[in-house]
Amino acid sequence: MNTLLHTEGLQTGYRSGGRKVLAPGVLPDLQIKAGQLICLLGPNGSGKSTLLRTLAGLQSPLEGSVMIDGRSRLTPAELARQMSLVLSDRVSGSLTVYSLVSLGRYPYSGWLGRLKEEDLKIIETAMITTGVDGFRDRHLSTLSDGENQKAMLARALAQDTPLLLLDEPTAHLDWPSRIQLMRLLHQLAVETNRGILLSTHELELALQIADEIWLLHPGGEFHRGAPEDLVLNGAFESAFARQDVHFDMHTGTFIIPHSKAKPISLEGEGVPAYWTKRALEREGYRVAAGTAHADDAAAASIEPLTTDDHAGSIGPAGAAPSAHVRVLSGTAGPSWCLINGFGEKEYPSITLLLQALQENN
Amino acid sequence: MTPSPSGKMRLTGLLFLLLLAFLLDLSVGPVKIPLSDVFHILFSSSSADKTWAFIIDKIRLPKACTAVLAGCALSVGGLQMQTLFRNPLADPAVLGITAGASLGVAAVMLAGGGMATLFAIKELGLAGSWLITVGSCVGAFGVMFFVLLLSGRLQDNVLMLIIGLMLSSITIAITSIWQYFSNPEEVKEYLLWTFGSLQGVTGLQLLILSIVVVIGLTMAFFSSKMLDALLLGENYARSMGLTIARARVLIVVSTSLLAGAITAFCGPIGFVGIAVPHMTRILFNTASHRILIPACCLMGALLLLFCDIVSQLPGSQTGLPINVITSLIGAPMVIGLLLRKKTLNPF
Repeated sequence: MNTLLHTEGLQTGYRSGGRKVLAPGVLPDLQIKAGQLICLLGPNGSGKSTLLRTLAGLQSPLEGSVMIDGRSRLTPAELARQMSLVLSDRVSGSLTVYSLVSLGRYPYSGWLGRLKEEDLKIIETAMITTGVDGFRDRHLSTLSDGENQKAMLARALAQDTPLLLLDEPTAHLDWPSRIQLMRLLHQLAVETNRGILLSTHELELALQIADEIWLLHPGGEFHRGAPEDLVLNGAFESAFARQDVHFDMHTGTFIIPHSKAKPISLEGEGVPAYWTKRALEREGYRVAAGTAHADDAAAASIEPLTTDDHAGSIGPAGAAPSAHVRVLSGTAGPSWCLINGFGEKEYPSITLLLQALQENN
Repeated sequence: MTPSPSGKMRLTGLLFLLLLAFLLDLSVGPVKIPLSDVFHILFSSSSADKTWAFIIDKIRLPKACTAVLAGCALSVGGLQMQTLFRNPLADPAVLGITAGASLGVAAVMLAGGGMATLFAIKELGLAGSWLITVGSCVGAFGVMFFVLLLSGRLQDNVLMLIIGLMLSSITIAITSIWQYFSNPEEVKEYLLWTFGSLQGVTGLQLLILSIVVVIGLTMAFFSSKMLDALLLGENYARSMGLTIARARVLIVVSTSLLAGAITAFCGPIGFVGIAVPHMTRILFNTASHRILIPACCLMGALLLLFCDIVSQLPGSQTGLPINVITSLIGAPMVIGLLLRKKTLNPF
């Protein structure tokens, strides 16, 4: 693969009042290759933004150099043809989406910004790829956050550079838009052979979509590799570990461990049983192992965990369940039967079941 | 960002209105000259009333031309400052250039009652007003030099804005000290200058003013692509290949020439620079500077001509000072436009 960007002995940081403030830790020499999607992860304050801004040329490195296309110290005009950016700076105002995307052709247009036939074609393609062509005439100030983000991406695509750097592109987006955007970036990396680096807090999405992950630890350690490697060698857990947060290796998600677990037994099948279990766990119950059988075909992808895995963190196991929940599947949808010291009663929804459990306590 | 057909139509409409206002401005005044005679005097030198021809040639035509030049220069200067600083409240005065010009004028007029200057103003007449112009230019360029010197050391445009305001504040303070220690006669003269006037710029002065304004406007037009990029903020602009420092110098020099020249010859005319860019954005509904710059020229010139016409309406010998009229007429217009539009998001 063709290396688009690499660093040599890079030390990031910033100058404050003539004093150098180094970002913690020493970075290895980094590479971004064509066709690669790299996610830059790290908790707040780990130097993610500083690294991204340094690679983007918005900030000069304190030591070492960023080589793009094999050269360092490109002029702004040369750099603009190699790398385009999507920043977290909010751009608003009376600019229309179309004008914004046309600005992507800035490095290629003449001194007055006149666009050629070829430029117009590239602008059109960029707008269709990102799905902003439907609102091309709207002003930026009237766009939602998601639409704004797509328009900024369209502008970067119109710049038509081999490298694309994005600073937290999924912030402010709702879930479907986040997934959509990540899929689009993945597709762009593969189909147009661009090298894409994005910083994000979306651990789960990054795990699913990145070819490589760069992980910055708050202490300055740096890990990189395939996402799966970083999960298995515990790099994720150590980077994000907090006292009250627990990284679940099975799902690649962070979960909130429940400390005061009361035992409860659950019986039922399929998706309703899985979600009942989630509800009970969220309420602080430890669902007795093996009682709830998830139907393999329906729930295999969403239920890889058994309760034993993090039993260690949720208190002593083995106390006898004082209550039992049975998920009944009827023709009109599931219902829930609660059996405890007060007798046996049926509830039409999880909401009512949880209410009853609360009242009984 | 090509001009849309509706944009072109609006520009043509404005141009037509501008011509109309120009002719009307030649016609009104203490001596009313009918429009048909204005045509005669302008396009056929013979067969017209000699007095009227003299009034138009020597007084009203130069004044109308000055109004057009001042309108163009101040509006475009304001537009450039608002975009450079991404601040809807910026105008050509934010860099302290107007204040610098005022200091220069104060130095000439007040000069501690210096005999040399008084002598020059009284004895030389016309040369006296030249002295004021030179003083004003020196003041404006002095401040501009400082701004450019400091801007080379700064990465951030917001810091530039604040430093401009600080320089402005220092300059105004020095002018105030000067006024405080001057005798009332001189202070009154200086105060009259601060009201602004489109009159008295004739002959060689008008030629020089035109040349400087045309240079400034050309530089502004050349910077329109950079201004478009700056709409996205400095980081994006840099990532698109713009050299921020170079763009800043071009924009600051252009604005200084425009605002400095107008202040030198007409006094500090306020309001136009801040209001016309907003009016133009609302009317043309665009952010592209290739349209906004010519449109601002037309709007600014039209507004100043209109204000000059209104200032003649009382029919008195002198007319009201132009600064009073621009605010009295312009401010309600801007408020009206904003109330109709409800939102204004230039940046």
